[in-house]
Amino acid sequence: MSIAVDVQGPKVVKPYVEKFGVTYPVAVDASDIFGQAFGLKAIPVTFLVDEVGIVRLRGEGPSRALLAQIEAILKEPQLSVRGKSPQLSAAGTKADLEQKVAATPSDWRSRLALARIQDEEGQPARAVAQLEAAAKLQPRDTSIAFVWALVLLHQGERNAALAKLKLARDLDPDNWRIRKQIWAIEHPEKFYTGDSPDYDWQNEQLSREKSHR
Amino acid sequence: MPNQELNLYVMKIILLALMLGACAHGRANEPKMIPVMEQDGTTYVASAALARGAAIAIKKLPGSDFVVACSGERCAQLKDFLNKGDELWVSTTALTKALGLSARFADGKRQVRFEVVPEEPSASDPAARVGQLAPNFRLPKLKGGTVSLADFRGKRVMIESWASW
Repeated sequence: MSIAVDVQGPKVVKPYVEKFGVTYPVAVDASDIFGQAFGLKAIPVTFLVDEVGIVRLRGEGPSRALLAQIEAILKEPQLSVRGKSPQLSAAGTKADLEQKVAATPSDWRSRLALARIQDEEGQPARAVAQLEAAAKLQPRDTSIAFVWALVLLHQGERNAALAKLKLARDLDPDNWRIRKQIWAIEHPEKFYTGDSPDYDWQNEQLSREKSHR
Repeated sequence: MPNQELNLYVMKIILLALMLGACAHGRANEPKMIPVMEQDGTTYVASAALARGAAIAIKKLPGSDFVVACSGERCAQLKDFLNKGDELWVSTTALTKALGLSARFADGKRQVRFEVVPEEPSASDPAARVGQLAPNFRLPKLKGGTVSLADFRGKRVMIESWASW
């Protein structure tokens, strides 16, 4: 399964996939649903989930070592698993989250998770209401600012989105995903036009930002 | 007419066979009695017997000190198990607790049958950790439709996250 995690969504993913002639299905995580569930702070990250549904491997970046680990796991005997998925428990579904928020209004994590789903389902006003409530409870949380940014971005509010993204970056300065996401939105020409992103520019940009701090 | 009688007879046999088949099918889905082994006051059941008799899958992850048990939609980790012969034996107490089952012993605790107890979904930290169950997610695909991790149940799935950065 291939998941593109750019919050700008299909419009930036599609040209790339077409340019490189990717034939396998690509999923798009514009609302940070996968990103949050799998705790992504940098990209690329590879996961291997086995037949039972257990995360067996988490590897950052492509590497030979990672490939060897994957091959070793694939050689293990495979269990035959029947029935429905163990992952399909009601926990984390929209109905479950709505119920939790109603029962415990101070449950800001559930509000945040609900906002992601509402954004994905095209309900920005509801998502923002959840985020406002969550931010009141937890004003300095990176994820709340990040999700708020992507909701704004999906509404075409680029500047407001960038302000929230920068707040998220300042709350978690080592988060590469947020830092690069800001660059990609502010300087699309350095990311989406050439054959590959301009990594020299990225290094320069990083040292500029570091000297700023 | 003898021909008609014969037809009726054949039909009766077919009907009986169908009924027996339905009964056998019904019984196959019911939990069976599983042999129990007792050691130091703890009762254990063998993984192969669990798979056959209760549709409970047990898996040991290399290098870990726990096994994973799955029954239907529920999976959980257990630390209370034994390696005996070529088989894994898991504690009946740990198994019932972890998977929300009830154990009905019979024959002086020499046999047991497991039944599923309906339970409330529990709230847990959803972030994925190695060795733990993956949280499910559903995402839109670039070319339409959606994809969910649960679609891959029973298969191994590699998830590659990327951005054109």
